Amino acid sequence: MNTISNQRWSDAEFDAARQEVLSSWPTGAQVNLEEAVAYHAAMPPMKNAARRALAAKNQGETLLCPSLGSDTVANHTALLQHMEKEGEADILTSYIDSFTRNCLFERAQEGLAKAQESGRPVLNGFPFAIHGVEKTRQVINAIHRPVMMFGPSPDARLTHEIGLAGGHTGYSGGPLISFWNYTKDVPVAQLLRNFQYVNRLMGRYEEMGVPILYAVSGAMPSISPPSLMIAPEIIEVLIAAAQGVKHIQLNNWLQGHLIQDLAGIRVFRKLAREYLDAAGHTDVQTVTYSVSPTGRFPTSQEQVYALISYFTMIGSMGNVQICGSRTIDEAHHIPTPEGSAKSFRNARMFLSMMGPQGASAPEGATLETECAMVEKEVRAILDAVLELGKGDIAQGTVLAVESGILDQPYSTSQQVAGRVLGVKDATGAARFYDFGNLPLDEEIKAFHREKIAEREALLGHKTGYDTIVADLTAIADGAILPVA
Amino acid sequence: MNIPAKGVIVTGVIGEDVHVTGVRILEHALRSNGFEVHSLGIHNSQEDFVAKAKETKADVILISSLAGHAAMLVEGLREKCVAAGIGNIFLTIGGQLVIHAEAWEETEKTFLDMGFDDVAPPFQLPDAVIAKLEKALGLRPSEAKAAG
Repeated sequence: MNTISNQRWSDAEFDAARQEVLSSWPTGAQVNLEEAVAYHAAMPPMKNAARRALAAKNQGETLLCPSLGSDTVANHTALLQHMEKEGEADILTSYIDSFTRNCLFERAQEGLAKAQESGRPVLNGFPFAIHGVEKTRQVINAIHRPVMMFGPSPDARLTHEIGLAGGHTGYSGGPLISFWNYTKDVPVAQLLRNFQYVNRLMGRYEEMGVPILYAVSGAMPSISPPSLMIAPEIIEVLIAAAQGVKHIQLNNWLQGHLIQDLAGIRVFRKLAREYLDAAGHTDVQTVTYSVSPTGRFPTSQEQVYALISYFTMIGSMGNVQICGSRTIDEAHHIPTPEGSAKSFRNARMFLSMMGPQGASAPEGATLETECAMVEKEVRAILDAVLELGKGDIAQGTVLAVESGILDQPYSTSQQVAGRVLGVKDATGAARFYDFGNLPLDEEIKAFHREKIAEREALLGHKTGYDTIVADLTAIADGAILPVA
Repeated sequence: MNIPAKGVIVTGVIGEDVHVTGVRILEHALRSNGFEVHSLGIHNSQEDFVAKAKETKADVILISSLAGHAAMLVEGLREKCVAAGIGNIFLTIGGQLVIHAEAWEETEKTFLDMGFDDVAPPFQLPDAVIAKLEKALGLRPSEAKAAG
């Protein structure tokens, strides 16, 4: 393997890698880029996720995009049709099953065979590589709205070959969220390379006239100050743009603190543009999306409906183009079609009330301070990464992970320092309990310490691990802060 | 700089379980409280725990399991420790250990009978775990340390 760099792959390098990927499983032979581009060109323009999202941006709309996935063509088509008709979803998704996300194609094949025999879902998503191009198109042909692929994966190269040729027009995932939250021993450099392939493939489609929407996700939050997600997301943005990706969706993770979440959306939008322009990618267009993270959820539907409305409101006030949502089934099992449809109708009602009012973030000193801090933190982290890489963000990322300058709490990876840790302040915003080796200056650290001190005054004792554990489950237990 | 650690602890999740939050916060708490922690992360076998404990001359193996299959996954662990020459190592397990609802005393007895020294009930907090380990290590110097 070559050393990683943020240079665009040469055609020769990319074509050689494609041959290898396409011959790794029999369905790879079905992919023909020219033919796939003709298939995309014959679709109605607004069935393309990138075009649909940009139209929403121009018209000030907020779209709804659920996370959906079932195994057989029949099951998955029925799920998407149900969400199109009953769930009022504007952009649909094909969640990749977890065997396929880990390239365990034999096991995905076994699961699919069992699902086909029994007629009941067995896999937790759509196994692209097993179905191949034609079967994937059967799903797309039965749907009138854009469909994106969903799901972090250490190696989604073959899935993209099949999924894009099969008529999907976007993907939500990314190398860093896959690294922190979905691997144990895979070096970050390998994930970056796998995603450079995925991004270069998207770039090829763009060069042949097919817009593809790439959604970066950064890191899954667990009481994480927004900079912990935004810095890795901007790295994902810059790596994608270098390979020719032209349409990028900025995914905002909402943790439930109105002002901090809105500050995160605002700063991410601003800095993504700034860093893209600084790297010369002025022609890359961005849209924004918001969703609350997976994790423990309240068990009662009444509480979840309130949360769906609340998180939808934050997205709407943050002027995002696309809202995702968890569902009323979240705490119990993989969402059912009915549960998903009910959840998104709830979100739709909320958006329909909010939309024409154009209500935006409540301006004020609190929001300004929050934005200023998030921005300083993201800049400090990204500048340190760029410095480590001597200007190359990919090289810098590898070194920054090693040194804990890029770090995450609760990572599944053994290659992550895991020293940073968050705790909630007196208002429920996420603050750094442990800064680890993040390159943050004294002003930033003092701000976080001061906010934690306010919580401690409220508690009447120091915050500690017991506070953090209680904070982690607070929303599932029914409130933004743990109820004593 | 070189303050001797309070004890050497091998931590990890056993089996195909990917739940990592509990063990990560414990690792952070143990490190901050002066223990030397060797983390195995997710997806480990009994053999992984025994090999790491032997290599690091550990005092404690701390196993996290949230999938509810823990009894199947740890049966025979004490015997493997004995065979590897670390038979006296302190074994503790916690998480969501069973799928069905049963009295805690019953669950605890199952694991104590398998050779565990300690079984943490669900929702035991890091401070309680630390206090427990400090006590256990004070009372019971490990075989590995004594030999080393």
